Amino acid sequence: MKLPAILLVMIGLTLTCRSGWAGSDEDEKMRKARNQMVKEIEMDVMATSIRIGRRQLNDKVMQVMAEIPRHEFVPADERYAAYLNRPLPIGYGQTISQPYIVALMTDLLAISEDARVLEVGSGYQAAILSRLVREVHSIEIISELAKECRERINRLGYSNVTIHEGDGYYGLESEAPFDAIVVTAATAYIPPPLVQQLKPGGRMVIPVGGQFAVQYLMLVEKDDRGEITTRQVLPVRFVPLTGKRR
Amino acid sequence: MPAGDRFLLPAVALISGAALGYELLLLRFFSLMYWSHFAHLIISMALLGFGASGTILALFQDRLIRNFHRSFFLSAQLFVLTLLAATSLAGRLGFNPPEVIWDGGQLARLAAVFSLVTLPFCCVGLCIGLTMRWRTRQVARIYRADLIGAACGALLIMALLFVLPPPNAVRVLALAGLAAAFLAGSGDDGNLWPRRSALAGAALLVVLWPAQWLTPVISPFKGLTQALHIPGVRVAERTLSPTGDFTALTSETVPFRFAPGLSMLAPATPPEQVALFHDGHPAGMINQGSGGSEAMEFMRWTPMALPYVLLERPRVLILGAGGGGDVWHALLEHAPQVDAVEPHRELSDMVSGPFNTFSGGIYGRAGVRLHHNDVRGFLAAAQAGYDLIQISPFGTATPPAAGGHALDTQYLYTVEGIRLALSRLSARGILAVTLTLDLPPRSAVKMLDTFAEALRSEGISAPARHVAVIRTWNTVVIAVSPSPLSPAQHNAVRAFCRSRAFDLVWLPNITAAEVNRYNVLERPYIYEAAREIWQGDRYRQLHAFNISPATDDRPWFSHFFHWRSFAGLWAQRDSGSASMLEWEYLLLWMSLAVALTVSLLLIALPLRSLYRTRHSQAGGTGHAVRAAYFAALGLAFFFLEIAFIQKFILFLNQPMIAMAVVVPSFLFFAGCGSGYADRLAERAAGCRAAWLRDRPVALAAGAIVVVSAVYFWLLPLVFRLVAAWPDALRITVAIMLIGGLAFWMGMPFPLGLKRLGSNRPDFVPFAWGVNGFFSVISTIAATILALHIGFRFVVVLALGLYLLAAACERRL
Repeated sequence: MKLPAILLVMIGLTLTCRSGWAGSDEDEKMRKARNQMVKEIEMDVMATSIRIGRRQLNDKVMQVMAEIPRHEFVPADERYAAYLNRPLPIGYGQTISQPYIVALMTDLLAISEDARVLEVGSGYQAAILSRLVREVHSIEIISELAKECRERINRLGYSNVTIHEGDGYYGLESEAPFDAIVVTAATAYIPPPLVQQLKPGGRMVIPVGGQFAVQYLMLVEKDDRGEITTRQVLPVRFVPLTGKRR
Repeated sequence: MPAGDRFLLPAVALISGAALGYELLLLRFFSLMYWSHFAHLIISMALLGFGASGTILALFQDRLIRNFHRSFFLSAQLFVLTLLAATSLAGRLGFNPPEVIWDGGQLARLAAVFSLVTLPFCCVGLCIGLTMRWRTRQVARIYRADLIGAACGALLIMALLFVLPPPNAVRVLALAGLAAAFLAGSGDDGNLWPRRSALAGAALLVVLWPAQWLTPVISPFKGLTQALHIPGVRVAERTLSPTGDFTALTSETVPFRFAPGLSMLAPATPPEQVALFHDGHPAGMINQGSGGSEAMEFMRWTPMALPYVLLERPRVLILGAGGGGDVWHALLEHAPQVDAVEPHRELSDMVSGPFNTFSGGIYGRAGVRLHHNDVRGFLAAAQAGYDLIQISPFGTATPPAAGGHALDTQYLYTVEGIRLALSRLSARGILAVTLTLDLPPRSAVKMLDTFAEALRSEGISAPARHVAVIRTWNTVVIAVSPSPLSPAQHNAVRAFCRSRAFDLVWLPNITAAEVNRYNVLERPYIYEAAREIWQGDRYRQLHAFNISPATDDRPWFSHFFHWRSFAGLWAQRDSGSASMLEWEYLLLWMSLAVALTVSLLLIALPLRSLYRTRHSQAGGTGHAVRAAYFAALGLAFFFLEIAFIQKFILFLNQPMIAMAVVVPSFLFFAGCGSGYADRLAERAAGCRAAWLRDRPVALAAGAIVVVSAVYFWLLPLVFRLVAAWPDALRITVAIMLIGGLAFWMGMPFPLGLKRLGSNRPDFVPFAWGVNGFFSVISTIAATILALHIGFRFVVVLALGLYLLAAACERRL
């Protein structure tokens, strides 16, 4: 009886060690993929430098892009593609933006460490912002996504992010005004309530256009007198998605 | 024809009718699965099938003719099986047209779809070709049965699509194929039981084939498919008809908020909305109007409100009324009379039917009149002097913004179309068109140039004084008047833009400091373009795009691609330039490449090697002349047909009605002409003029040239004269006009085949194949040629080809 017991223990230990190695392998693989993704973002920035008016993005932004685990924000069946420089479906007809666009949007906000930011959408962008600013409020209209996001943000320990459930069109009146607003869902026009909730001197970035057509990044600036100007930064990369309905 | 073959001609007519019905059904399926401009591709696929059948006939003619009835029977049976298989698989091979830009594999998928869809047509081609080879002396009668049967098939499918869902329409066509097999198979004296058993089995298969497999799958890239991914979105209404698939969606979780260009300063939000789709493409919204016009206040904060600051209580014409948004807007501004034109009855029926209460009974309101007509057709027939003609994204007549529509013909946005609209305005009236702002702004610049050319054609030498242009970050409104805008109107536009943070783009007394202030573009493109356009120049900044105004001869407003920009755009396709590559246009060339390759493999190369081996002694110029004759006819027939289909679309207003009238009429009268061909040959034999004696093809070609030339000069005049006539009368005029041309076009092919049949019957399949090969290319080539040099040139080319055929006639 002793021998089988020892054998079982050994097999158990071996399996434990293997799964430990697998986990560490997985982390290492993801880290490498993330670094590769950052390199691709840098190449995209160079390729579009004329349109975006800069040859490189803020170092801090790129550093955070290399740290935040994007694979935690995509469904399990899309994890293999988590660090490809392309948008991914996250279910409920929603997408997580292309990493290059996330980096560029974050950079365009030109935020200080003390800023309070509103994110309309859910998840990855809020996580990126959480490392760069004092406070992030994220609002999501689809309750299932809001719930998933709250659970994920709590699990990953982004303590300065608060997830709200509601219609992002109306912003978050109770927490307004914001130093910056970032909208991660493409919209057909700029929601006026969001413009109102922007502080003078604040900036808002929105991808506009259809999900499968050309999307533009729109930078909205409110000057100190409250005057609004908008600027289209670039047509963003046109990458197809044919995500299934979840 | 021998008594035993009395069912042969009906069998040919039946199988031919089923084939043409299927061709038109495919047009519908492809519009839904992919985009609406695949007509040339489908016709090409069908013709490839016919051409490939010529190859099979040439290879196996002796064996097939020896067992004629069995061969016909088997071909007809195979038609049914391949029809079911092709319909089920064509939309499921992963072919996605927009992906051709970045996925080379799509070309292989296109080739797969192309090859698959040719199979049923190849089987039909075998049936008809076999019959012609079997009864060489009866070629003209067989050709007539073929064409008249096809005409009936076209009419049948149009009628069927009104009453049957598409899968059942496929079944009816399959059963027609089985009926043809039954009739042809009955002419044999052998044991009929095995054939009848096979027929019964096939009929059972047709009936039991799952409807789901025969239902077209809508492209995942279309707006409808995308909208259905959103939680809480459901299909509230759906109507199927020969003109399209019309769907209304409601959204419970994420509200639709369609308000193009809504000001960032707007205090009002759009009400609840129902989204409308046509063949999967967005077709406007129905605004909840049950609460009255107060809910429409947001419209005053859109750039589409511009004309209402220029006019007071105008009499309004809305072109492409769709869900009625612009009608609400007009009522909000106290318009005493609103004429709403909607080409798609199915859409306005939805608004007035199931959504009547929701929409606030918009089309039944006092002062509102709804007209079901094509917008250009309505303008042609309209008499009233409107104060405002409004075309906006709330409706269905605005030029499509997104990709996929570059090859859609749009007769409203040609110089002639805009002139017509201007002529229906009152003296101080306004024509206002809202466009989606593309970058660089090709649509707006082209539209501005079109307006300028139309105004100049109306005798206005300084168009700059008649135009106001404003924009938001994604919309441009161009307002134009037959009279110069007044200083009071200039001030009103300035105040309107200031209060809503809209950008001024053009006013007669504008300064450079006033433009590009709120929604800042890299440069003030449209303002710069306007300054050059008023001088009669083209905007040099956009020289890499096709921004010349569209005309009725080249009616593609949304086609901007120019080869000089190709290399640069292709190199940057991964960084934002892919959208400017215009995949529809590139796909056209790819289709030509695929058609050429597949038809070379299936028709030209086998025939070449076969005839080179068999007739190496006969060779010489004989082959070349025969090939030239049937190649010229293959190209010329479809060049003319496609050019005149376009002419009649403009005349009959509705593309589907035009197809339903023009295609069967062409076939029917060409069939009649084919039937008359023998008599023409007899007359030509006794002709006094030596140069025409025994040259019936020369006679027919001469008639085609004369009639076409007269038509090209006369048709615009006739169309103008009868534009206001009722549909039935206009259709009658169209049929008569088509008859006058198609009758002659039906003769050269059977006359050539008959002469060849007398001299070298073994060359009949060769002629059939060569004609098929060039026909395959002709439909795609006609579209490419017309895009570049216009339909007028396509007609001239076709006439030259008919004359070439006439020159080859005696050496067949």
